[in-house]
Amino acid sequence: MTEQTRDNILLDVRGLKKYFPIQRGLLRRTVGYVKAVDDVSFYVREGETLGLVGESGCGKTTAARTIIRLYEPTAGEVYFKTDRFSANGETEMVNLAELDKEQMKLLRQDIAMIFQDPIGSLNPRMSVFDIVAEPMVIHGKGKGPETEETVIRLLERVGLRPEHMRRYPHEFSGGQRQRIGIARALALNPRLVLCDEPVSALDVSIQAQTLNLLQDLQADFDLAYVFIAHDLSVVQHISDRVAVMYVGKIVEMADAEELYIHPLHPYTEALMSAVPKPDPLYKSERIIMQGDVADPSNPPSGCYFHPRCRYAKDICSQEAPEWRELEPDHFVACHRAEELQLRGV
Amino acid sequence: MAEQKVPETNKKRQISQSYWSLVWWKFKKNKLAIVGGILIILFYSICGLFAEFFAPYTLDYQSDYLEARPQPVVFKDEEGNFSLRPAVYGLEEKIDQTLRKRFYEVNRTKIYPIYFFVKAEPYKLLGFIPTDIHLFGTDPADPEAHVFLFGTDRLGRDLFSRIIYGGRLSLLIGLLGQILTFTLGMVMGAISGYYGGVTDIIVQRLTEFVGAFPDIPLFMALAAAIPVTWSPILVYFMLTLILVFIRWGGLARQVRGLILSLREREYVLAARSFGASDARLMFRHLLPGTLSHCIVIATLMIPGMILSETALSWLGLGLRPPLTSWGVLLQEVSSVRSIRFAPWLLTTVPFVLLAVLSFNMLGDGLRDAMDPYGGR
Amino acid sequence: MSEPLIEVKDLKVQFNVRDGIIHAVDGATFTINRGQTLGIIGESGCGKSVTAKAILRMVPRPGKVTGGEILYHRRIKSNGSEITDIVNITELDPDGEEIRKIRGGEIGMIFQEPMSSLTPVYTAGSHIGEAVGLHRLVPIRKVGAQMVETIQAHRRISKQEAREIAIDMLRRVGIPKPEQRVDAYPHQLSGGQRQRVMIAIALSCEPKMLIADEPTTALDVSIEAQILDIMRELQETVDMAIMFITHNLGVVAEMAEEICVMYMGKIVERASAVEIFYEPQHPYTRALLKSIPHVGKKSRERLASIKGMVPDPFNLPSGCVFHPRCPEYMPGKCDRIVPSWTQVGENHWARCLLYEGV
Repeated sequence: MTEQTRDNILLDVRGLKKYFPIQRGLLRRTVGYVKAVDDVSFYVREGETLGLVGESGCGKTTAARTIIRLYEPTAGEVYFKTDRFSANGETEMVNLAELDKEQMKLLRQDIAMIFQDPIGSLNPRMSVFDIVAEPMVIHGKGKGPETEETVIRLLERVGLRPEHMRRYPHEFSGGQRQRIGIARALALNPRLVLCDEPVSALDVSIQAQTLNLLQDLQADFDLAYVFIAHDLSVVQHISDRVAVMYVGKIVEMADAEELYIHPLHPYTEALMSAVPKPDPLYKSERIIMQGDVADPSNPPSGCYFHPRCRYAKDICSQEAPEWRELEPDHFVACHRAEELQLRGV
Repeated sequence: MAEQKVPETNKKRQISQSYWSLVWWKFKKNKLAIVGGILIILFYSICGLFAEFFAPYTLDYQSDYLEARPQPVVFKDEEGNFSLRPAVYGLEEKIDQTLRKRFYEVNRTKIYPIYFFVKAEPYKLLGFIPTDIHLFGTDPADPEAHVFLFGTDRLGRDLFSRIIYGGRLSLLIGLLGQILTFTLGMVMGAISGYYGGVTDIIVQRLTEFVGAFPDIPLFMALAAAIPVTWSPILVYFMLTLILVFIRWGGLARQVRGLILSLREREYVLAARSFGASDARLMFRHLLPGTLSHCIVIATLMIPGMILSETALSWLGLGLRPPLTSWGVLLQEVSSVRSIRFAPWLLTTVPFVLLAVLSFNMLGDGLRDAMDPYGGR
Repeated sequence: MSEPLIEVKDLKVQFNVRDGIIHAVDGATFTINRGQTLGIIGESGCGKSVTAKAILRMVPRPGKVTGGEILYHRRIKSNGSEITDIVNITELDPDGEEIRKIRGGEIGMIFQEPMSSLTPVYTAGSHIGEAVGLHRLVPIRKVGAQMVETIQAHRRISKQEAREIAIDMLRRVGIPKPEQRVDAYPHQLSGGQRQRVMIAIALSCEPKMLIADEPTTALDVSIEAQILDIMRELQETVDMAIMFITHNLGVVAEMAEEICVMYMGKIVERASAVEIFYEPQHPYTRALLKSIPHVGKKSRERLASIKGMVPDPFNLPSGCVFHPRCPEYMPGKCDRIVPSWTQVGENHWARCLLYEGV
């Protein structure tokens, strides 16, 4: 990547891997690995949104959880820009994968997460106040009357009323519960929020409200988002840049508009053509991908996409393609990226 | 579609209720469970706390009436006229010449009125308040008078009083044993499920090891290992511990399974993503999630505890006289002879049944109530 | 071509629950013609699934059809010539011979991902019972056996013939190596393949209509595209009507010729797909269309969201149920007068006071 874009990078993930062992038998012998995240590299600039899109099981959720070390990474580095460890207030890039528990806990104030399931992500036994205040309590900031003020401010900011504070999650609708989750994520003033399918479980009209809220909050608090979703239209709407994942690997990453108009990877092209368009007069020239998504515990040789790719050549089944920056800020992993003329939307 | 709508709106109607108030709200609607709960409270207060007050005689009282039949209760005064004050007929000793056996017949000419809050044998209420008031009894001025509602045993002891005293040990062994089982099971299960790995394997093998023993031979071995010289109280505690030792495994497994599934819940992941400590995750998120399930399991396990004590004592492996428990009482009627000549000694059985049934009714009600979100 | 197959007139379905009555479907009127695809869109809880279940007499307890009629125009051969017999489905015994012949035979159905609804707490026996009733896959039995059973339930043929039809149907829905796959268990198939099997089962009885209730919601985009293509292809070859229920505006635009938009149990607008997307008349339809992001059109603009929340079904707003969220709310009218079903164009109906001149 070019030097001038280098400074305002907030999160820089390099070669991240997360393998889950498959254990069988009485002695729990490891017979193989599910390569959920397999050598993934991407970066997020301050205040921007990186969309992470892919079909189910492609490892996008695992990638997010590994970044915040809910799962321990198998390999790779996760650099995060922070001034928490320097004496003179200078910022430096710290490798999250190497931090010990105490150091990591400090940085957890800067990275928050929003979850998919509006029911499952809130503890049913805790009141809304307890839920939203929990991050502050964990970091020893949840004492005194200021906590209540902060919680009220957060709830009002996400469009809930202060009196909702004493209620319990089951008394809210899906969209409201997602707002509670968003308020909790903002409690410690993070700089990066990992949004794991935050609108997938919501109805269309509520989805729009939530997306708008996320955009407003980004502007107000100068947040950077990693926005994970399987819905391409949603991802494109909210993201500045988009990374496309397929079976544990990122196959393409580019500016959102660029990616949709001028894709370089056949999977991106096919995925976009498969999205049903809300326009009955649209003449579908759909590229049907044959077969099912590859099994991450037993991926095909070479390029993982080659069995479903209509441009595949011999080399695609033999060698894994290299991850390269073909155009400025446009990365792709495909042997034939230079020669193919792919169709955008 | 509509199915989803129903519970959602039910929830909206109740203004701001915590989980436990929802549970209580739902529990109240189950009449059977309420009855069970009230019965259990009665059992524990009558037998457990105030046995001396409710029993007309003390534990070591022995009358001269051996294996006397129950005295019927009538509402007559000493002249034979109707009276609101209950009374019992006296008993008269007879000898059955063919069997060469002494027995008692109801003597309808003698009537002993029953008085309430009478002064009789002194005792200490709750172990420290000295008093001599009993709920009911015969005229203390009349040494002849006696009231044996359920008859007497071979040594002339009042069975009614003994059932009340016996309930104390039997019910307490259930409660105490279950509290210990509950604690041990929760702790072991939580550790096993939360830390996983080697800890998990060790705990799992341990529960399997304990669970693989056949119950009765294990009891016999363990009971035989208790020295005869030990005081009955010590034996009582040993027996409780033996029961706990055998039963904690099942609960531990359930807790482990619950913890394993809760660990992957998004709210637990959320707390972890903010850096919550192990203790916070355990006590704030994981254990509260298992608690309701475990309380139900534990309630439903108490009858098993009570029945185990009864069965063991009946086999002569558990509590021994002079301790009195329902098992000990039943052991005294373990011969055909006593069933033939003193069938009233079996009065203990309905009490055991009622206690067991009450716990089951309460447990069932709790099970339904503990899941207030899923019910419709 | 526009010969009606199913006519739904003023259908009402209520759920009587402890807290009151839910009007799950409140006065739905529409017609499905032979060979046509009718799309029904709406958000969760709007009553679209209940409408479909009412057509099959499968409304779950405590729901009840309380009004209206569902007329099924059934073609039967009599004395060599074909006549049309009209059956009122609402008057049939829900467990009777007649409806069972129609359900799964003359009207097929597919649901969301066919195995996701199975939970391990039920016993195997109850699964089988449920599957026969609801046409879902049973996890413990081979795909072929289940297909043969369904086919034989509706057609008088031998087991061998039924198996042959099953293999042929699997081939037509694009299952690779159908001769082997027919002996697979459902868990050995992927989600997309299981949905293909469900389509194969539904189509094996040569139905006149297929009710598809969110058939691709649980599937990935690439698999969804495959399934939609198969459904369209098969529809062309077998002349079958489809009632396509979904919340996804993209899917419905692609599949349906005519669309009903539902909100809180009421059909608020009905028109051809093109008119719904290009000339929506009801404010709810308009708002819904504006609230979804479009692929390819990149903008940092905010989405036009619908304000507020879906109302409490026990406590519906007065007048027009949409008025508290409506951008074109007319105070004094919309909150008082219940809008009626008004024709706003040729074959274009809406339920909105804007078009009633009040």
